[in-house]
Amino acid sequence: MVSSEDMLAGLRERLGPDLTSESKDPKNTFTINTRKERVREVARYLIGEVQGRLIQVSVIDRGLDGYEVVYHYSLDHLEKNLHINVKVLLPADEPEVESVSLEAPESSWSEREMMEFTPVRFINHPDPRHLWLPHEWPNPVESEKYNPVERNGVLTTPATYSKNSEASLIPLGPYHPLLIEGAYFRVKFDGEEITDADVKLGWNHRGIMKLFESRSYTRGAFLAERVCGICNVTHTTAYLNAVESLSGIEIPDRARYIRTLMAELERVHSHLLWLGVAGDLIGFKTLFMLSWKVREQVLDVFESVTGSRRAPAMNLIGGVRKDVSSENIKKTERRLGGMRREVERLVDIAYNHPVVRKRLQDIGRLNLATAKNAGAVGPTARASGWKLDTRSSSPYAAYEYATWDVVTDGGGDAWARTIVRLKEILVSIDISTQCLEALNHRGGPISIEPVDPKDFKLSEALGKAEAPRGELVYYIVSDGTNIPHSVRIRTPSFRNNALIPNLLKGHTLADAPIIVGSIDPCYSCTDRTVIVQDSRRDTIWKTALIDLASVRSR
Amino acid sequence: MVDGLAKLTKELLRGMLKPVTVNYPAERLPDEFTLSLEEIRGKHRFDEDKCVGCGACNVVCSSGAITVSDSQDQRVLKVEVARCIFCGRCRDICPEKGLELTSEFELSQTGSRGGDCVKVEQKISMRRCEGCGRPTFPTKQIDSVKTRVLDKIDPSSKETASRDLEVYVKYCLDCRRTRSYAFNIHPRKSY
Amino acid sequence: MTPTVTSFEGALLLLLVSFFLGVLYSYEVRKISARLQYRRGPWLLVPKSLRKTLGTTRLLQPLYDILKLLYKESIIPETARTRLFKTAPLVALTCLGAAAILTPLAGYSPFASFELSLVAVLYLLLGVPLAFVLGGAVSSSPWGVVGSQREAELVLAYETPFIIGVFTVAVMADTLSIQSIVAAQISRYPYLLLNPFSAAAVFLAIVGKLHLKPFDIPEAEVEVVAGPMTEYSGRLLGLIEIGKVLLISISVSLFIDLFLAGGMIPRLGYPLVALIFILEGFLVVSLITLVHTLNPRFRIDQAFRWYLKVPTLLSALGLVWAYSLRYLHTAILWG
Repeated sequence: MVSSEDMLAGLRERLGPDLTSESKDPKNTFTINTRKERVREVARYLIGEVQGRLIQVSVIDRGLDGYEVVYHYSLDHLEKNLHINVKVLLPADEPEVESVSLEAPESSWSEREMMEFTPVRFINHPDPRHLWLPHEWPNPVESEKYNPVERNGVLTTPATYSKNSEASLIPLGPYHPLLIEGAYFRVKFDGEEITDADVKLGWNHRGIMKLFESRSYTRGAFLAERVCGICNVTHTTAYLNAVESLSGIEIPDRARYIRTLMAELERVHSHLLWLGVAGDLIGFKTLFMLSWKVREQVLDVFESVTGSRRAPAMNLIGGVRKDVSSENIKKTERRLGGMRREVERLVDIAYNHPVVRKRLQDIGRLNLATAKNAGAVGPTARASGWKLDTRSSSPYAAYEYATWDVVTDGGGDAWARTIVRLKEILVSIDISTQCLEALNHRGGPISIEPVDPKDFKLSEALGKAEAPRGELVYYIVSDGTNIPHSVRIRTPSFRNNALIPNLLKGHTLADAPIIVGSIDPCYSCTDRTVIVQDSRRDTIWKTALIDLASVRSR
Repeated sequence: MVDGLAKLTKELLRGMLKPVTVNYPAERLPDEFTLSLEEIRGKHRFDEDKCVGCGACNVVCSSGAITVSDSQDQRVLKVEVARCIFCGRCRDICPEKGLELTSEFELSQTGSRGGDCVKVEQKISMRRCEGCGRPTFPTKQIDSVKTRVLDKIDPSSKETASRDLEVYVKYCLDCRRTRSYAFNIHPRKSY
Repeated sequence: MTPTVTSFEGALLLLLVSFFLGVLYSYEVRKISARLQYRRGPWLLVPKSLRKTLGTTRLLQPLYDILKLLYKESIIPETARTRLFKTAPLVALTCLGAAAILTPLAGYSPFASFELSLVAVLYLLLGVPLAFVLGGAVSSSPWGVVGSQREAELVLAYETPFIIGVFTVAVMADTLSIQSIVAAQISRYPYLLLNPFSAAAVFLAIVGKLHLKPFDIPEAEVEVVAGPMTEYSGRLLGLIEIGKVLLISISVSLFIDLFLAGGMIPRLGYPLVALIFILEGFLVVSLITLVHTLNPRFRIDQAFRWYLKVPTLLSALGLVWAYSLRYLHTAILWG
């Protein structure tokens, strides 16, 4: 285990004169600038030797100065909140840099996304196909291996596997009862066994990262809430963590407790919802009904405390909007006590039912090495024995004041993920009860005045939170006005969805739903920008498409 | 194995007599399943007397659901409930507490978009400028601003302020500017 | 001996009554599984404020669903083999109709003299999975193909305990006519008490036949959309749903005839016998629904292995038990 000074010294040593600048902000985030030729070496050092994680690759458009590629490394296993942003400035006329996905496979999806949004090209990327845009759109990477071909007058995507196999192709999606939202798993299988799988997303793309760039910081909090239907509070918390870092303000204690209470109740809600969905995916409709019955009680707590079941809109810059009255605290404490007993009964049912075990054990095994390589986060990673939790490694709100444990399990299969989530419900109820007790004794203000954006202490900040599905990262770049310059979001499902093709291989079609369901995919979180196409025609010819694109961009 | 199934059977049999769903729409929500219905952010309701038509709700609305349109005689504040995200900022910022969010949440409609959508409106009469005849501000807003300024102003300036305010309310911004020396309301007069 | 029907009108009436009972049983499955899950299910008594629009009761809701399907347009995929696609539901319905009039209901059967009615019913009931496999395979949909494969595997799995169990009853009653089996039980005891092992095996096989959990594998919507029935819609789907309703009625009637003495408790007049038959039917269906609500779905290989373990062993045990009972009976009678 290297210390942070050693790590920095090692970087300085390796980069030498190529390390053009270095800075540190009060939240323990370092920023170094370097030349584009050294990015792979930095990745090799920070991931291979220091065991860090490359959590996101963002590209910020700096106008005439070019494009700034920022590699966000999270090293919070060394020190709390320790992050490094490695920046490379690319000239606007030649925005090319080498891809780091060979050193860090977890960055492959981030690079694909940035290739679609900006003109930056990541050379030698192993899979430069479109991530959000349809495969049939002309691929900017000129390679006959990836470009669509015209067959019988119709543009089709080339198969990513050889045509000589006997296996048949089944489309799981975009419309399929196993999915809650649109996604496409192109599964090749032989009899009932799956031999190959490919995932394509982008059906829920709404343009959110672009929308952020035209709304003030205050309105941004409400927009962040609507990225996901289940993890609203976490998105606002992460966004506000970033904005409050930019402003250099610290929210009062009572606000911290209220934010933690909301976040933990949301985690309870999300895991109960997941339990129902997982039950439905193995055909256990009764568990679905029973767990959603308990979930209704959490929603009632949200309704009485904040006024809305989902999208509670409690968090605002500088604190929270509404206080929790003592009467509500008492009611909530009673509710949580009752819920704890019901959840324990549900855990009993899931644990002791013979068929549930048969369906979940040994399904979709994710071993620790693959999890670390692919950058899994959240309960998916914790179920493979990796103690990864943003609440303990980069604490925010009141997580440092409450006593709680990170739940892990060594199994790595769908059963382990179920157990981790069920235990996390009980831990979350525990944390909520501690927060309620603290709120009973502690008074104080619930918010402080936000800072005018021209007086922001920093010009960019990283805000993290632990969503029910894993680590959520917001990277906000400000330009001194009250509207952010760029916002980049990396949701946990973005990482976990990339694991699905690997997990599906070797299992039967009957296991596919529960494998997909056990990593708790949230496609709304994953696709955050939408390109609405008005497709009255079924096939779009390449020339017509280019014309259409040029009309739209004028 | 049998033990787990037996426990589950017991749990299910308890549900035979006490379902948690209600015969909606014949019955509404029973009290024991909701902690409180008062807090819900539902449909808007303008208080006829308290709303002064200042339009602060329009400025702060997160989704552009509240619009202000002025005509010769009146200002109409319109809330398009279908565009609203029910964040509650309009209610929080209203200086007169004239906009409240009721607990009416059953707002879906079967009609198509456009004319059939639920809208909440508030009409306030506008005061006309005595110089040019154009509408200036709602009368109630003018009265409310007058009261607030006179309440909070330093007592030594109170008399001057109340005298000047009478002149201010009669004219629109442009007419005030052109007549400021004539009426002795120029801001530099106190130097 | 060639089967002769004693009364055509009686056979038609029996078919209609069978269908109607099937509708009631379907309703019961929906209502009880809902109530067990803390929800309500279709209304038995509609609340007063909604009676004008919905009527007084929704007891015949399964029938309304079928009628709605029957007047909708059937969309057939272009690449499907249309003739076979349209014939498959008709095959199922014909087999089921014939099986319905061969199975005695509350003691009445227009084929009372047919000595091989049990064998005929077993063969006819196999027409249903045949129709499913056929319909799924020609529907040119990948879901249909996978569903057909699963249906074929499941049939192999549950037919073994079913046939062994049913023939055990034939051995005990020494006849292959269902009417005579009922008569044999009236003079002694219902076979549920004499041979509970075979009863359990046949019960578990019936759960599989009806595609109820934990064996609703061919129609699992999260895995294969709707299995063999994915491409069926409108009128053709309505015919399949009629088939399902008839199937539940025939299976339950068969179970009652074979193991519960067909509802014919001696010395009770006719209307009471019919009532008892229906009551026993409801009891059997509630038990089936309890199993359906308690369990998730098996995977097809797990279901196959399970069927070869528990129900087959139970049915084999029942067979051995039946033979030893016969031996004991003759031994006791003759010294």
